[in-house]
Amino acid sequence: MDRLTFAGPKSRWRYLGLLPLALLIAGPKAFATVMSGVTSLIVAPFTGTIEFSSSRYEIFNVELLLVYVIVVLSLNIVFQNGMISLGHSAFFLVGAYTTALLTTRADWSFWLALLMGVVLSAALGFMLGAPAIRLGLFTLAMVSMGYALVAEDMVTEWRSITGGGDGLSGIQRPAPFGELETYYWLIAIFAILVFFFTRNWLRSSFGRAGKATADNEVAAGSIGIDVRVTKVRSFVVSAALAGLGGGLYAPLIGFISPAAFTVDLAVLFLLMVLLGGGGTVIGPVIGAVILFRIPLAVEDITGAAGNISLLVYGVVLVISVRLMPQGFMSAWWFIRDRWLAKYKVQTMIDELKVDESAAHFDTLLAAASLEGSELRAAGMRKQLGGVKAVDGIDIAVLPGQVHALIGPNGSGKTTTLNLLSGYMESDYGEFTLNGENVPARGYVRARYGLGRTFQTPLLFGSMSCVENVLVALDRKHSENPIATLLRLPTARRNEHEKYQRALDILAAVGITDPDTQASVLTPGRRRLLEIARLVASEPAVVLMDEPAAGLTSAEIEHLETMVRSLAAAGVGIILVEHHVDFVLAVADVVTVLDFGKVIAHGSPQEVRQDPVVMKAYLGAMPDTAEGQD
Amino acid sequence: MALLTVEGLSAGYGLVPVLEDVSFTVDQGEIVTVIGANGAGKSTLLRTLSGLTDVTAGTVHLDGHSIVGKSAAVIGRLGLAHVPENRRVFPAHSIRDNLALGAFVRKVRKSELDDDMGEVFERFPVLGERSTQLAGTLSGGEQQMLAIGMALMARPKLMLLDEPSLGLAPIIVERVFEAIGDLAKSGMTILLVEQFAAAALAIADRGLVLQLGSIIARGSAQELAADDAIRRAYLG
Amino acid sequence: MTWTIETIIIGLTAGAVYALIAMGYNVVFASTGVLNFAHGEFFMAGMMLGAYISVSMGIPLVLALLLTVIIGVIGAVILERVAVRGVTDASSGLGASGWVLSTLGFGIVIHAGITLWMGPQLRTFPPLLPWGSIEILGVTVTWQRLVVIFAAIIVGFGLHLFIERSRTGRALSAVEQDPDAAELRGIPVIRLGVIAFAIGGGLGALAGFLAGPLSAAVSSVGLAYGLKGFVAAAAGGIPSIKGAVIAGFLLGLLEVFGVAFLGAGYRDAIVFAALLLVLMIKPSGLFGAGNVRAV
Repeated sequence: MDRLTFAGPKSRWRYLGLLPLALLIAGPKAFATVMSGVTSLIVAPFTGTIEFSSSRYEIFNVELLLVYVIVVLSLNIVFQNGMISLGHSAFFLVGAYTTALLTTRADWSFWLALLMGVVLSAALGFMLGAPAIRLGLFTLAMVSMGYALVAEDMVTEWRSITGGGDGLSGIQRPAPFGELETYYWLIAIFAILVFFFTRNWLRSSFGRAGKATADNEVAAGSIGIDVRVTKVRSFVVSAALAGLGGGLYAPLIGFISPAAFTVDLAVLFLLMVLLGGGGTVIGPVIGAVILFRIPLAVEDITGAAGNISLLVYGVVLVISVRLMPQGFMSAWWFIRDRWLAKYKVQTMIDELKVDESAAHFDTLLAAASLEGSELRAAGMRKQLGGVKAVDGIDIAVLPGQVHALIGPNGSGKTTTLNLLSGYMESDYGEFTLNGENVPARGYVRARYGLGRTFQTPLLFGSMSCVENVLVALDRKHSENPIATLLRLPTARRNEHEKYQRALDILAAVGITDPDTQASVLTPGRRRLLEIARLVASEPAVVLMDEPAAGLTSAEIEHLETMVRSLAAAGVGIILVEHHVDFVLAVADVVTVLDFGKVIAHGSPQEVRQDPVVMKAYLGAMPDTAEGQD
Repeated sequence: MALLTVEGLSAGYGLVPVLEDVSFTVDQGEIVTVIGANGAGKSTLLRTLSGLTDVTAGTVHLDGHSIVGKSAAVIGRLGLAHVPENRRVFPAHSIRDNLALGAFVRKVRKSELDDDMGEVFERFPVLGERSTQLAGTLSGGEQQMLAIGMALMARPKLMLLDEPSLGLAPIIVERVFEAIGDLAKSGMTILLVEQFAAAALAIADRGLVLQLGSIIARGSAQELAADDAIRRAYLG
Repeated sequence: MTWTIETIIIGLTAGAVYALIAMGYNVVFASTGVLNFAHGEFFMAGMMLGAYISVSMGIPLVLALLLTVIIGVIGAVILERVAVRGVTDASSGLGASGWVLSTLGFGIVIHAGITLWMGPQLRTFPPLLPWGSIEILGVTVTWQRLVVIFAAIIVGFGLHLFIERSRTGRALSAVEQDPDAAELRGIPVIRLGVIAFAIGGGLGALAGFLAGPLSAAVSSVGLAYGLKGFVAAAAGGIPSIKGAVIAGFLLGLLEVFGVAFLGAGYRDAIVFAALLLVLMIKPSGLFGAGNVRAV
């Protein structure tokens, strides 16, 4: 996958990107010549001729392509954040109509009108994005398609302002870009700016938070990312850029009408992103070039466009998905890694150097100077589907204390954890961290220092190990967004430091291959990575849900030392666990739940001997390990 | 003749090899347990036998039929039932519907289905009492019973059990292992993957130790439980 | 009064068509996790082929209906094989969105193919039934409309019973709940996926055939009807069949009354505003379970 950071190992292929840049700077004629030439080369077997043309028509095509590239890059921001929009033609439309109306009817200067178009698109992006972000992935896709449809209807309907179906004509290009050849430079400058803006965005803390949200919203919340803010932010920024594209489009054509902003256009934008590789830096540009040139190529062959090129489009899409299901860029990386570079097979080797990493872990925690908080929850009650899942539970943990929560399945342990984490709101009860009331929202409590691990580790699967840790570090070491987007030296330094720290944390928990994608890790390493992410978020109190489940005895030992180190560093820990030996070894206090109530509370030794606990939970089990041989 | 014969089995996901040259047999009526670390390939072994992971080399015979390259549905019909890790019952179906789905591979008449269901309810009375309740509302232990019951509905010759103790309270784990022991007593052949090695060896006849995709030790359950190296590595 | 009843009948007829389309989305999504972006084009194909088979080829209506549905089924099976199977593991969300691209692409192929073959112009459809109309509460209602309304209700009941009661239906919904576990239990997930696509394609073509005589048949209708059908599915709560039918009818009524009061230009705006409103109040839709995969 594409890197989500500027730091770290660089590919030696990155200079390939200079090629299109050079082409862009070479000017409209050169660009048009190359584009038309390459297209005619590809279709030469059918047409029998090769033609390099820099006609006005080809120059126009190049400029239109660059406008599309701007919109497609904007759409990519939304896509990387885990949303599919089939409605970007609506923002494109708003940008175009605003610029056109203000310059032709209100005598605004082009620049002000363009700015206004961007602002209005962003505003519309907020209005439409804010309700839409709660929707599921595909519902959002369809609803946004509805936006595109409605926008088209509305400009047709509001005839007195927009000219209805007849459209608006006489839109002038601004000086000094008045001619088609000179207007190229305006579009090219904006295209380059937007490209670098989106690249920096995707690799900034914004982009990482967006990708994390796309991968797993619950996990994103658990390290303090406000999922809704992330999504609305992406939507607004994306809409603004799409509006910019529209604002540049109107003077290019000189005439606009609703027919130019159909849902088909929105679909085309999405197809360009997906074909090239959604969420990658350069993929959408490649997708835009390919899909833009197909109808022109078909026209070269058949002499007619329309439905034949549409047919070719569809066939190309289906075939390309079969050949490269994740888009062009993934296919390219696969080839590059497989044949062009040393290819190493990922093996299942999972060695833990426990002693080394334990010492490292201690130093790391000591250096982090964590501050523990006191967590107190009193009288928590929660009814779930008529069942009192949690029925008046008090729980407290002091800094540096390990508090285990045990009990039979269905006794309310997980519900308790969810109430404490703020994933559910309790019907009654109080919750304080260091005496302060904290609202029951996952990301808010996380920002107050409440860390969490999950029964099945929740990772950001499409990101590498080091990126998983970086997302958490971003929360605590926030940077000036302007500096990041402009890649100022301070931002570069900050990024580099964070990267080194992420590597350090990974090494401390025992992960030595930081570039491995999280989704291919073995179960044991998933736990380790989750703990690394937890440490990176610098928690004050930690909730752990069955951290030992599915681990071998050696791994449990390792876990034990890490939990002890965390406690020694002053972090309070609440632990839900079935592994009795593990609980007895690490816990300072044990609370036993049954039917949503506390049935025992005390030191591990007291609880172990409690007859009520033996009957409800432990049975004779602790003895079988010794007694069976 | 052995019920299950695995010879030189290698398997993996895409380019990642997980199992390498694994050979073993399971005889009619015995419990064989597979123990090993995380990522050793235990679950992959079961998935491979069930036809869900691609075999790259080797042969697998179930009751004389070669099952390499066959689909999970065909393998199920030949007499292999898989009880997945984390139970994985269908939460929005009733207990009854879950059991009926367990028999999906068989295509039988309703009366026969009801008879078999009756047998499952006899074995696990708690399921019979709540037969119309949705499986999602059951506790972890009850879901594990249901998961085993679903496998029984397929009338298998061989049952694969993947980590039946995972995430269960100690007292429930005890009951689950009791149920597995009873199953074996009534003649069922079982291949058991279990993290909780001590408990698994206590009810098994034989054991295999898997490490990094290969079998590194095998023997009777008593031998393995008494082996110092294995005690240290897996029995804690 | 008569105006109101007439409007209601027209709304219910349109709603029945939306309901039929919505059910197609639901059946496919429930058992494969794929939202068929080509579904609207199946509707369009049903309409155009229906017109061609019954008018140009002169085949009797019932037979033409059967043929059209069979073509829809075959088309969907091809779609499944070409654009869905093996493309991606649909359950893993955005990381595996290849099928979005390929189903959109397949839809474009259908659309362009039919337009090339039959031209972009309107085609007329013969009436479905020779009997003309009856009078209900003083309003003349064509049998045509009643047939469409009843078809949606009957298909809805049938599909509901099939999923709840039949062996295959139970397996389909098991696949919906946990495809991996279903496969482990020996349930043939891929074959069920093909069956689901076949049902979906047949429903799409059926809806198109039934809607043909009511509107004019033209090859550009796929997008709009595909979207409206999806709105009904989402508002009803994917993958609930009951939800699709009820939301489909409500949508049809909302649309005709909205147009009557606000004007035709606001038709789509009303529809999507209503959908957003429903989803704001209940994100999983009117009859959505809420605990299954988010669509």
